[in-house]
Amino acid sequence: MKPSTRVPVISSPVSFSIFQKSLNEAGRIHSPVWRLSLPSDRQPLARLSYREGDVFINRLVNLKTGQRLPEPETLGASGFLYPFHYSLHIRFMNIGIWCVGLAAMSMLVLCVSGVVIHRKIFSDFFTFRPGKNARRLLLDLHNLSGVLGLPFHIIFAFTGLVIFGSVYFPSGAKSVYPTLQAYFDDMSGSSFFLKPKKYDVPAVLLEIMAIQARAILGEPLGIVVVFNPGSDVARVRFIGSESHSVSGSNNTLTFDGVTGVLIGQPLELKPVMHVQRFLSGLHLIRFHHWGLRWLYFLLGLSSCLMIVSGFLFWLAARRKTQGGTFGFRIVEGLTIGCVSGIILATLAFFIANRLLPAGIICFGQPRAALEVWAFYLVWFVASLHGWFCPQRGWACQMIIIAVGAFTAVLLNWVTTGDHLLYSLMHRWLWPVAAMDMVLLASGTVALWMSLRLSVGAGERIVGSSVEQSL
Amino acid sequence: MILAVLFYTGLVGVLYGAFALLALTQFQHRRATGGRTLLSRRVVYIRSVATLLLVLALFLAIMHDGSGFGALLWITLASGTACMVALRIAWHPGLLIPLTRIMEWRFGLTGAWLRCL
Repeated sequence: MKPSTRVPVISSPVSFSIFQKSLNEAGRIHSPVWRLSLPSDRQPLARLSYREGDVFINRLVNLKTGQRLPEPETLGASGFLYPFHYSLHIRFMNIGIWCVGLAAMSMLVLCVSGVVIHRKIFSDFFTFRPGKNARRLLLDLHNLSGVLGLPFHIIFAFTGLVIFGSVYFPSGAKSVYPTLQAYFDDMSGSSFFLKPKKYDVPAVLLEIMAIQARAILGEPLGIVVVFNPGSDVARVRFIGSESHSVSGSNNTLTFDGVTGVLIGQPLELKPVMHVQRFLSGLHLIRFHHWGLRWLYFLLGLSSCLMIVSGFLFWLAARRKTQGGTFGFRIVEGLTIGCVSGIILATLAFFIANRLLPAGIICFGQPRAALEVWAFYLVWFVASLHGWFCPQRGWACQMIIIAVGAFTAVLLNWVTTGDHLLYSLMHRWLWPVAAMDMVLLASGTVALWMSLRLSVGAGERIVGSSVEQSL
Repeated sequence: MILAVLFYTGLVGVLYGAFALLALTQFQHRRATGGRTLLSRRVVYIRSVATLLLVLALFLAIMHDGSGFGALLWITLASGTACMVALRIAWHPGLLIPLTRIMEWRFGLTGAWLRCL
């Protein structure tokens, strides 16, 4: 989504001298904090961020040239889809986070209750009967994906709740700390937001402290944070790379930014904090382990399968008796909107990213916001379509998904020149190639599904056509 | 890289074998592979062997990848391989017939091991 970030990863240690100018600038404008994320296998560029007044400046830096990349004019997946999955982008009173927490808690309850009501859990452990009737097949699929992926489903729902534990269960932290901020300060070592008395104080060069930090930590650096840059109370914190363990790095060193004296050693975490870090690490997957990341992806798909087959089974079981009721129609519409609708919305987001011209402003909305609007609009329309045309909704949306997925791959090639073969031949483009291949595979499956569903398109009931095709 | 791929393939093999043994101790899956009913004593024995294989896979994963990654790898691979066994029984159970036959030999898995030697 950000073609300018497609550059090879530099394996040699980063020279901090190229960031000194930006740090000095942050000091000049009295930014309270300056942060630098160093490149990793997932992010080949360095990311600089600091605050200028109320505006948060966020820039990518090419380490080869030392140049800041132009504003990408997109939130990209990490700026939109990633926060969407835990906050729904509803920041008011953390309502989005609470909604997602409620969903995660519901999933935990459903996982446990699903096991309890599954009377023949052991005898059906490996049971999958594709030749049986449609309802039996759906139930087998639901059981298989649910039971065999159960550890994964529970781990993900639970660790998601653990990450936002201080939001959902603030009483725990408040019973020990006077404020939540004090809890966060203790969790991260200590607070360095001291009140500066003087600015424009000469500081020790980052490079000198970085050499010392590397030598002490004995591992590559991951993040550098400078509190109150350019002031008399400047503090520089170096954090080790997070990629070598599940929990992420606990190796943190803090220097006095003015004198360059080491003032903070790696934190000694309490056992409970080790557990918290491990559980968060399980969910955040910041580690470098390609095999595990692919397994996470596949098991994530099994979670989707469990949810979809559960939806379809629910509908199939009630279609004869409650098919005409308003509640049934709502669930039916929601099912199509949540299953194929959100895939369509995501594809619309990808396609808008490639089609919208740079610098476009429409109805006062910049390019990045227009991409997000494309996502929400398509999702809304797809849900409405599913609700009003349930009998043809699945087949129709599947064919659109297929077209959308192939179009996204084609647009990537046309607008960036990185076609699949080219991406496969260059190591640093493998993530692009993987994305293209997943899109092609998804498009093919959707096309196959739409063809199978079209055979039963004359059927009044969506579920029955889905079931027949299955 | 090649060694890592070989190791993970081996790990998948051990887990797959363990789950295939567990699945084939159940009557409906034995029937799908044309096997006979096993004596309950033999079922216990085969399930013990499968459990040992699962423990061995966990041990190998932890030795190779460390406790954090190893345990995570084991649990995710276990889910994946169990699913593979279920799909294999559903679509091509014939491929598990040799294992079914071995489980019926007089000395069971020990006998098979001795014959290999």
